Amino acid sequence: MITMRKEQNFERFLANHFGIELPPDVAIFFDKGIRIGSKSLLKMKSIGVKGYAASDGGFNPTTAMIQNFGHLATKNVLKVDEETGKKFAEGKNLEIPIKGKAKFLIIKYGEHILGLGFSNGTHILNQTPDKRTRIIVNSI
Amino acid sequence: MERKEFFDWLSTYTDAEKCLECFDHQKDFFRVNTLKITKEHFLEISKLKCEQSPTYDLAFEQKEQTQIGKTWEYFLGYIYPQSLPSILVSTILDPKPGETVGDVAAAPGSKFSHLAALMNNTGILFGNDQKEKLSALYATINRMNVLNCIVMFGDAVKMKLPFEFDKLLVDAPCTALGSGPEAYTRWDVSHSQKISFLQEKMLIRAFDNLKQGGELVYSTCTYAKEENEEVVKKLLEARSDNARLADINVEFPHAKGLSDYGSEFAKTIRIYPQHLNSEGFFVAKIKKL
Ligand SMILES: C[S@@+](CC[C@H](N)C(=O)[O-])C[C@H]1O[C@@H](n2cnc3c(N)ncnc32)[C@H](O)[C@@H]1O
Repeated sequence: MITMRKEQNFERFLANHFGIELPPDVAIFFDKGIRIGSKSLLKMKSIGVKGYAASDGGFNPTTAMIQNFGHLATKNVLKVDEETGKKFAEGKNLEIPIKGKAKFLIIKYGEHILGLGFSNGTHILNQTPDKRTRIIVNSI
Repeated sequence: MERKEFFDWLSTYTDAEKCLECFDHQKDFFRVNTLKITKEHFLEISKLKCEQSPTYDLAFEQKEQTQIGKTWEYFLGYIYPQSLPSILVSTILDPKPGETVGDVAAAPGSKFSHLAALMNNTGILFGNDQKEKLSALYATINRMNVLNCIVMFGDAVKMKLPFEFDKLLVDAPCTALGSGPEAYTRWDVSHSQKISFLQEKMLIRAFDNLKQGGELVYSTCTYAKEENEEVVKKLLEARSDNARLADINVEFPHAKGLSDYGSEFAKTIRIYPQHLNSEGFFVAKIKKL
């Protein structure tokens, strides 16, 4: 039951905070953290198979989850230019003041979802895991 | 092994001169990840200098020296750098949306993420590898938006699963003579003989996890028959009642498997560097009757 509540809470968070309505063919799973995967995996869950690894959501949304579903967001999206986007991809925090409460933001450059940041009012704290960060050498 | 000795050994398989020459001038490819972007849209937005392969429409040859891992396209999961034969292996398994598919040695996930794309993120895609390899597999899963997968770790030789598969990939650990330019310097035939025992056990175990009517692809990136035809032959003998080689219908240049193991081995394929200007591979498809 607790597990179900976590899954529902996460879905509600995505909807309330980012306006993300997940597509009907995906579901949220709880297996050592929140994960998002295809609904076809529910069959496995029902026979007790664990390890649905798809898109590790963490309980805070993660870069993987946001990179894969962030395009569905309707709010709390911060658009940046390419230069700032590159800084973000490198893992740097962005010096962008945002009024209001501290909150998660989806970072977007053009049509591309770069990942997740956390605004503390003065900076966007980069949430990209170190392993994912890189110096980008080209333009898109 | 010395280069001269390797050359002589390789000459018993193929035109060694051409093979080594092409091996030294391999072309770099990447695959467009349709779980993140369509090919058409990729071509609209990407400025990477590349050319679509005539062999497979999602494979692109890089036409400039770029650090591909440092491009936007890589960061955003739009592409996966992968050799052309490696890309083709998943198309030979040919998984369909909705099927139950497995990859028993999946890390770092190049073929695994391609299988997910071919299945359009539907059905069930099971991946297994050794525990220490899983972080690389997860990184691929996350970057490429694979959503239909279940990942486990364990010895593929002992793997016992609560379900049977429509299709399975056994992309076996091997001596990699077809992929590493210096691999032969650390190799002699006894290495192939040693590893073939593990390959055989992995293959038989995987076969036993197939549904009746299911299909399995066995692949390696090496040339030694001890790791290729001989391993497949052992499976065909061990499961003689229901294991049969299936045709691999491909149009790209390749050589047939070695007939020393029986005429049916003409159904298996050997891809040498001179065929696709890329890695060497062996591929066999086996059906469970
Ligand atoms: C050729 S690589 C697989 C490459 C992968 N299929 C891809 O395309 O990205 C072989 C893999 O077999 C794994 N392996 C070796 N022994 C194994 C065993 N006993 N059980 C499961 N996996 C094993 C290795 O860790 C390695 O990742």
